[in-house]
Amino acid sequence: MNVAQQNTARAFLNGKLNRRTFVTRAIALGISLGSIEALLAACGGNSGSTADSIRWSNWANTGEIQRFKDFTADYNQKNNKNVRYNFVPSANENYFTKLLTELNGGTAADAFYVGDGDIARLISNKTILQLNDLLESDKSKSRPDSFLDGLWGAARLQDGRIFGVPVDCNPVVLWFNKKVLDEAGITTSPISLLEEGKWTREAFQDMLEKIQAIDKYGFILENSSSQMYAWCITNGGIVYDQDGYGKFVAHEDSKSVEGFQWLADGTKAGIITYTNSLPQGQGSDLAFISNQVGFIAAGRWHLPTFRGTEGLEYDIVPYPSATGEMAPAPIAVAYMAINKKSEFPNETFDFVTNFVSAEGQRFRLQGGGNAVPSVQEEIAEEVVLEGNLPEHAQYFLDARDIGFALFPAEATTPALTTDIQTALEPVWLQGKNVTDVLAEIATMSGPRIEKAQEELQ
Amino acid sequence: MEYQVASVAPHSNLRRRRISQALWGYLFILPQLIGLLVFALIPLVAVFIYSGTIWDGLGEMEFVGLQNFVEQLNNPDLRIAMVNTLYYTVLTVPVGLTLALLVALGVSKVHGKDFYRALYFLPVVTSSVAIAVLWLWLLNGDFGLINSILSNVFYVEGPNWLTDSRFVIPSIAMVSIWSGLGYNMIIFLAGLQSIPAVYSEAARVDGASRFHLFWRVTLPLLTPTIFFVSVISIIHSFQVFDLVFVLTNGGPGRDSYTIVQHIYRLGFDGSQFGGASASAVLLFFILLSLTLVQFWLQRRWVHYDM
Repeated sequence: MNVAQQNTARAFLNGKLNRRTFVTRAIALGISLGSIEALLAACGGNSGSTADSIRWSNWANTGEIQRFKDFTADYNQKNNKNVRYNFVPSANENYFTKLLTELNGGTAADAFYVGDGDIARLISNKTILQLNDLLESDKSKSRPDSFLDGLWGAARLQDGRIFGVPVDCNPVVLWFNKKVLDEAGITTSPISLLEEGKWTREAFQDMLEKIQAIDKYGFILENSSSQMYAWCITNGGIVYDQDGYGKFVAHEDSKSVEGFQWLADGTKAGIITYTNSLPQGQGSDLAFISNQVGFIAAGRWHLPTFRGTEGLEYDIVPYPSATGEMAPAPIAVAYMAINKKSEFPNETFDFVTNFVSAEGQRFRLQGGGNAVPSVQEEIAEEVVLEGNLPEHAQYFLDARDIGFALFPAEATTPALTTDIQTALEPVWLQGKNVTDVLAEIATMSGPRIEKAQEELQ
Repeated sequence: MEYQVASVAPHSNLRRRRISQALWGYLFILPQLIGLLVFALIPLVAVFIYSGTIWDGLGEMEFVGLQNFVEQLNNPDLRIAMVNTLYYTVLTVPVGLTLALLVALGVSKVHGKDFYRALYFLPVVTSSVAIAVLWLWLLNGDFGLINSILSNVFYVEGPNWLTDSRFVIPSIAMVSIWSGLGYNMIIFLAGLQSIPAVYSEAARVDGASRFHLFWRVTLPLLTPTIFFVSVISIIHSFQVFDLVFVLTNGGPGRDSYTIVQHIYRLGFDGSQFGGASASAVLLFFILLSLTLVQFWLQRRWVHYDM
């Protein structure tokens, strides 16, 4: 470049020239198109992160977006660094497909949320950063052992390698509608039964039959494999061997078969309603709000809606179990992962570790948030108990402490969850034989799990 | 010399004008051409390339030759999808075409035909997702309008249309026929209007009844239109996706699982873009073969003049 060209470039880089003026002058001075492109890229002309900008992304609904924007603004303000962090919200619908496309095109954010059933695909693709060293370092605000062990799921491989951090979690419990239970003549509350150690499946079934008698839904079964497994685990059964990393064995395990059979009998008898047989647009939450159902299984994500519904009387109770006491149940988890192609892994990790720290979770979840902290620290746990909403919110924390994320064997095998749910659908809708379907699932899943585990090595 | 100069100049001008015209022509079709390249031709070529690879959507592609095709041909899910798609096609194409032809014949003669045309065409301009959501309500086994009418008016208990194996594909086919009726009707109407009136007038003079007029004159002259509509309908029915996706998502179980849904699930749920592309290529060849067979057969039954 000659002197005139250099002066023009310097003026642009110093912000004295705007982009359009710079391009016009540069062309007039004969600066090559390649040089212009390089200068523009260096100054934020491309869609990826730049020297002073780091992007993080997740799925969020309208209410959550503001919370995440506030967190990012707060972080930018408190962390007086030469880096600016930007939040890029994405729609929940087809989130992972979009993320894959962005990773493919090199435009994915530096850090992003990944669902519990998707993270393994990014691990086997080698597109996300292994986090053990960073999490163990002084830079980390929360060491790996700060997080509940049951929450790691597919984000931690069997050999201990960690690729994602649980941002928070949602232990699945039974929400019950007090009005519906009253109408059905149920005088002993599920909470009392649990406290007496009598919260068994039989006691639950008795309630469902009473609710059915008043022409309301007893319990709505979601199309979720882990929520179906809940009835096996709370019955003392095993679904996957090798601590959830091995084969599907529910078909050989009498307690798991019994759990599935109970669900099948319940749907046949009409005390349990499979969600896909509900009218379009009426999910279990709407049926709950309109006092049409006694029990639904869900995490804390319904709280913002339920607390805003006038006249709705509700509480939560863990799943009933074979012993009548609280037993492990599924937890929905999302992880924060770091893009391997991020040019600023340390700065990105600083944001991530703040985001998942007890303080970070408190900031995000306070004031009726929709999840439960993934760390066992009082400062964060207080947000779950604030305002006693629902009355026995403590069960969220108790369920989290003993619950489990989606089994790694299933989470690491692409499309297995969908295929299992598809295979089980005829059981709930058409009364297909449970044992036959479970055996089919075992045959179908075996080689796929094996292959997926090999790819993760 | 003067003669030579005088003859070369107009020739050169003509050539320049032709080149200029051609350039303008290309310029005008350029947006369309770019669209065709980006959204049709390049993806088509890419699908053929991906079908020979193992690729999970990210990272390295591994070339495996015909392995994906062998795997897909042995994949029981694809076989189920093919049978379901074929069943759906057998239900939708003949019934859809016959109904559209009958409606076109009725509408072509009726008073206020423009109103009826618009009425029948409304579902065509409506989003297929909106149509599917509407029919989800109508077909619901417990709360749907159809079963309410069957129960309250005819005292018959209707089935669970979308969750019963026996009824799920006929139900989807019914929705598809309803939503596609207007499009086929418009094509048939155009075909009917292109038949010169002299043929029917001559037949009437010869004493042909209305049935004979239709059977011997109108129908034979309408065969090119029937041929066109049948080719397009078969292609569309093999590519059914949106209705199934919203109405049943392939369920219950795999009772309404179709070929395009298989491609979608393999690619976007299973990250098997190689296998998904191989299935798409198989679908491409199935449709190509069916269309070629139709073109071969049309020589026997399609009449382009009397």
